[in-house]
Amino acid sequence: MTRLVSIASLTGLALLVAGCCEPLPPRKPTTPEPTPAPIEAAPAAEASASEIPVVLLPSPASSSVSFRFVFKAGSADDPVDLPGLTLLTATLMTDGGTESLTYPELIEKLFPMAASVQVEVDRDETVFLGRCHKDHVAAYYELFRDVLTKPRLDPKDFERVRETLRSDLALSLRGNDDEALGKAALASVLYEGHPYGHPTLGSETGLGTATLDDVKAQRGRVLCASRLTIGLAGAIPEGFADKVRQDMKALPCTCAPPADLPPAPVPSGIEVLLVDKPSAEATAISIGEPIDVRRGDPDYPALKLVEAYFGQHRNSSGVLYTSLREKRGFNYGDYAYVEHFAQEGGERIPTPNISRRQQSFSIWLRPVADKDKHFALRLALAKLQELVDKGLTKEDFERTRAFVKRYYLTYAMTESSQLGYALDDRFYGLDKPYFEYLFGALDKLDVEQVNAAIKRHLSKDKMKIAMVTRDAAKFADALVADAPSPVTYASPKPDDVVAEDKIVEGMKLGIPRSSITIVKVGDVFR
Amino acid sequence: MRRTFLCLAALCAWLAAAGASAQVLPQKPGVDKLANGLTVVTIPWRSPGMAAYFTLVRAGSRDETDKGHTGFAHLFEHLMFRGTKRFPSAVYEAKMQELGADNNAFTWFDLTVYSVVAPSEGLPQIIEIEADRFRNLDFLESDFKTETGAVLGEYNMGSAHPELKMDEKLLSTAFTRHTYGHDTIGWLEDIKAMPGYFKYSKRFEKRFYAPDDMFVVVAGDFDRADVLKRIEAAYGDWKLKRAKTRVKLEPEQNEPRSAHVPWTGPTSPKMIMAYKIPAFKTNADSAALEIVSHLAFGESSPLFRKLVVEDQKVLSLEASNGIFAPLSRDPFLFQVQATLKEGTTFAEVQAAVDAAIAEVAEGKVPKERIEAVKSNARYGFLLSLETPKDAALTMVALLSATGDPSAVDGFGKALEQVTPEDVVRVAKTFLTEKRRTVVTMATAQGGAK
Repeated sequence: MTRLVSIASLTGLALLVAGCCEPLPPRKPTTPEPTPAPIEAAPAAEASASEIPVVLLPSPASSSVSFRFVFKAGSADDPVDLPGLTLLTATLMTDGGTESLTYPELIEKLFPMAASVQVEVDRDETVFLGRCHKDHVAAYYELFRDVLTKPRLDPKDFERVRETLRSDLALSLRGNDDEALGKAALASVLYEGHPYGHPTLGSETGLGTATLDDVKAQRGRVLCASRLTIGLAGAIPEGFADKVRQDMKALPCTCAPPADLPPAPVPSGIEVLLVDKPSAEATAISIGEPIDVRRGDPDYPALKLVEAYFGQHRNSSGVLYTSLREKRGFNYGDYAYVEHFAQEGGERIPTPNISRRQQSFSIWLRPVADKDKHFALRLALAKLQELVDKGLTKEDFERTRAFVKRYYLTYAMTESSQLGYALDDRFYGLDKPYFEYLFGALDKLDVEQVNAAIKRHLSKDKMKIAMVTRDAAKFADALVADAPSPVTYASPKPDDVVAEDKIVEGMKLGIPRSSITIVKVGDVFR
Repeated sequence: MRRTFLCLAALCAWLAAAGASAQVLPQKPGVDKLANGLTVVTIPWRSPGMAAYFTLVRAGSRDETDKGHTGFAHLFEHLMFRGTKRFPSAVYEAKMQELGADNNAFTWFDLTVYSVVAPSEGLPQIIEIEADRFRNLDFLESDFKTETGAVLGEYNMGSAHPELKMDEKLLSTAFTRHTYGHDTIGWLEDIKAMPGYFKYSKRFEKRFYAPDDMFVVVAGDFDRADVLKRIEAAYGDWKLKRAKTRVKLEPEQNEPRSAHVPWTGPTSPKMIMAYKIPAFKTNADSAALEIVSHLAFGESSPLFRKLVVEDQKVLSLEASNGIFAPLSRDPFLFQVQATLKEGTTFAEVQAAVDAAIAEVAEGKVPKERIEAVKSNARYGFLLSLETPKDAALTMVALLSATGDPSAVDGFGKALEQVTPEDVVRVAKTFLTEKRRTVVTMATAQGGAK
């Protein structure tokens, strides 16, 4: 490993914050009482920002400085009556200017530096991030700091940002991106009634109801000092980290403690959500189940290896990819994940700082032609069953382990991503850098342990399925009837594929009508 | 707040280095040409133990001149993963997996690129495996047909996004003769007919996959002499000449054009205003057009401030200049894209865009703003170059348009030398009504007018 991250975690640096907090605005009355995340500030004992941890990855030879300021806060902290509030709050901070600069003035200051202040919100984490050339550290940081500590929060900007997010949800997600919609729909059934159940964008009602006062209160509750970890990497000037720690005193110190998460609902059998979208040219399919395994847990390394074997993201060697795309040409790609995954921009690597307290296993089939959807679903579940029943061979295991130990080196090639991993290590309480931890654990694994972990955590019969498709009612009938779903191809297939197809086309899924829900696309996340 | 430049946009955004005479990349790239015409560009990079190995084929959908065969360059990119006699596809995949390679490819109008990023220790095998598949590709008709299904799947994947339909309409409206008139993915009816063109695929390979118009770009931490020796051994006796592509010239556009795309699902109204611009060169025109795209339409522009922030008529506004903006081999399009808030009309956005162009063309933009854009370009480029992959990507994009490894420095110099007069001239000359094609999209039920 050539790029293992070295971490200097400067925890325990006391900050005196008494008297430096912004007062919270009065809370708008809401009914019913939101749980699990009420708007009011938490008791003072939890609200103190007496320690702000700092993770530093200095690299004096670097030409830039990367900033990742991670709050333990996300859409799981949204009040139940205001889903989307955390994203709305964070986006208004980055896209709304500062106390001294309007948004256009802020952009104008950042523009010559080719820099920006961005924010990414997931279920349990919100990260404010940016990167600047070392020529501009002082000037850039001043703006970055003010976005966090002195956001403008102007009513007109609030309306603009809210309208953009509403459009992203109601028009772009529902109308323009079936793959993202399928994944969001899966999360909604995997975590029904759970704080993870709604997308970070929330709901149309939530966005429509939120007020600027709600945003200010949410900032005070969750984007506040005691939930922050500061991350800096690159050509960090001497004494800079101390200054940053001091400056972050100005964050609200009125934090509410993160609410305990209830357990994820356990599926009793296969359950299906069909998003009925008449204009869908093809069908997006997402499948998943909650699993009780996170980084640092004993079975995590084994399951991570299974992920690489069964469906490494956008890699052509996985079982799912080989079966659905390579042999049958059903779609563009087919992947599996044992923890939440989001792609880093156009890259194939995962983005860091989307750590979660609870995780799920999932399968993502990219859109398949309408005529193939029933068979493709059966084939994916058949492959999962095969994985559970037969596990990996010793050869599969050795090959995949060698792959992971080299391929994952491409994951953290930028200073910002290395910093992101270091921050994730802190979230999960790892006692060594992620890749060192993972590769070390893989070295100690054997194939029997991996196959036992598969049986402990995965089951085809407890999967939840979300599909964005046309003719949903007709497809529901087909699922209930459980009749064979033969496929045809443009060319003859090898004997092994033909034989497997015969078995798969008649595979019984045993889904009762009561386990199928159909929702019109216009009603999703309303 | 958006990133100022994404990586690809940044390579477009670019190549302005510290000074007019300075070289753009931290270390001067090595350029070696084999006897068969294959050019090898080596870029030393601070990336301990890691390297990028890119192969550029200067053929893309621009070369799809045969009727009914749009999308073939992209299909062929897929077929390149179907293996050889020595390394059948499963063996090829296993080998790449063993090397821990991030192995991918992409096709665009002017290029097809095969990219491998992996630990440097695997370079000897990567060179051997990659050379073998370029020289000895061997796929069965059944594999060919299966791969056409994956391409159809890719089209289906994109079909949920309005951008695909808008791009199709824009290109076919703006280009009446040139092959830029179709998108790289191809027309749906051509994709559906692909399974019947197995023999054609073999001919396609012979016509366009030849060393004399290909580049191998290696960036990262490696022994240059050893890599060159191995590339010479692996590719050196491959003798083929690329066929000439006879692209029809696009006639001068002398009047504005427009088209509308109805969208059957929910969507925000969208519009693209596109202007014909010259082919990319490392000259003042291409450089000044790139400056104008940010000057008039970027997040710091008065137009963005008015339409997006103050009046809140538009949800997003951006401009791109050219294909891999601003890199196209033949004349292409300067595009302004807007997503409208419901209630905003296409006409009022068009009027605001016209006014913004007029402001630039009349020389009313302060010199300091032009300098700010040049600073943005300079630092955007420097920040975009962090990994060996970034360096290789930048190089292949410039090579695809020019075939010249020194174009990186040449364009950097051109950018630094852009004057306010250049900015006025290109806006006046190219961003005119008669060179404009406008495509709008709204829901079939109504939406913006």
